[in-house]
Amino acid sequence: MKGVVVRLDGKKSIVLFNNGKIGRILNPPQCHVGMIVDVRHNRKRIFLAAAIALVLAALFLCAKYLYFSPVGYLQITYEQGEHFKVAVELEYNRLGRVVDTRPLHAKTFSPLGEMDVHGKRIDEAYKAVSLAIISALPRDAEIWADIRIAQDDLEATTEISQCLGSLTGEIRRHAANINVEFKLYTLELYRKIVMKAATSRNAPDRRHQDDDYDDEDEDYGDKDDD
Amino acid sequence: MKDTHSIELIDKIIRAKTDKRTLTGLLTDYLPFMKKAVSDMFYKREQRQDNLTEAMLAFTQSVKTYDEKLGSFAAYARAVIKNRLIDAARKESKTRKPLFSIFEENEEAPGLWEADIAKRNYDLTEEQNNLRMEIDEINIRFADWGFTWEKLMKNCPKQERSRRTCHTIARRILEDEELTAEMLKARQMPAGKLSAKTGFSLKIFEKYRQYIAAVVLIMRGDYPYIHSFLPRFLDTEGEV
Repeated sequence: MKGVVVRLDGKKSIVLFNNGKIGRILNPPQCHVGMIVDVRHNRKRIFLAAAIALVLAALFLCAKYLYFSPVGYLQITYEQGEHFKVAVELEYNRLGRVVDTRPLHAKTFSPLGEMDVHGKRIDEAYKAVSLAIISALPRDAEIWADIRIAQDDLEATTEISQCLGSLTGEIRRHAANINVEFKLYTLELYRKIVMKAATSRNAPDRRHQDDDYDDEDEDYGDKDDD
Repeated sequence: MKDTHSIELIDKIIRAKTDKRTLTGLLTDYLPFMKKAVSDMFYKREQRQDNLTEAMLAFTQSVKTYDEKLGSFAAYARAVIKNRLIDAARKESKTRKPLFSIFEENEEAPGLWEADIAKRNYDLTEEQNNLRMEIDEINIRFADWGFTWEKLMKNCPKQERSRRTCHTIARRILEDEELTAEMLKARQMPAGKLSAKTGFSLKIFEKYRQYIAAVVLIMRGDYPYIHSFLPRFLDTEGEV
């Protein structure tokens, strides 16, 4: 873009460009009023900026993909007799944060309609959901909890299981305060079941829908707390 | 035997050597000729405006240096423009490595007489002196109107579309002699009247008042060198 220097202003000059713009540029060597200047965009800088923008966009997309890809599932089921059953599934990412939630069974109500646990740590989400369900129960009752963790990593599953186990006391105390007896039955699902569920595009809890499911292949530990 | 048209043209050229308005008139009349000269040589779209500016400066130079003995004015002006554009392209190719070379493929080497004309007549210093004198003169005019280049810079439209509109408005004002006279006499923009006459919104006149006034002053014809730096919006109809 060509222009003519119309005024000197210290280290910069005011230029009338041939696209009608009037702008300020750094003084070229031997600058004087009436000098014709040719100002070009620095292509290298433009390419560099575009490359940086692309890399940042790619990094952002990768981070977004990694953050929102679930690596495990936590199923929380609370049951009281035949009439009360609430089951929800929380999907969590590799950082242990909840990325998605879905109600699996709700005979009475769904606690997910009243709270948003997206982005919370899985143990915090577990506690919040459990307390919400217990608080909604009638008094002087007994409730059964079935907590299932499914992840393609035995070590991580055990770690999360321990973390959730440490919250049991707190949940039980809360239940006792409102005269609800809390019984926990924990089932941990391991790699094989998760893989089967992934192949059949079903969440682990819906494994019974998979005709090829072989009960004998199950490799999980049953633990009856209480 | 020369025809009437040639005689008139030579008369105009002689007058244009000293009269700036006649020179600006010639620049406006010969704009299609300059566009043709530019498009015959260069096809890089982004450089068209720059090449046209160079061509206008070269045309001004050719008017100043034309001598009847050199032959037809059109051929002379075309040679001056061509040489100037080649010089500009050479200068640019020295400073940057081009994506492709126009010289290797497209350029036919200039004839000896053309090169000679370019050497004799292409005086950059004189051109820059003329530009400087015009800028000094226009600074005084701007001061009369109460604005400076700094103010104009702040008032200058950022969008090309807005600049285009401002230039169209300036042209419409200049087409109406009565309106131009009134504006120049009062040294201010009769925004309401202009808006009603031209059909453009009052907001544009108020927002870009100073810029439009500056374009009108430059376009009026007293500053042919600066006039070469006004944009020719190449894709619009009815351009200057």
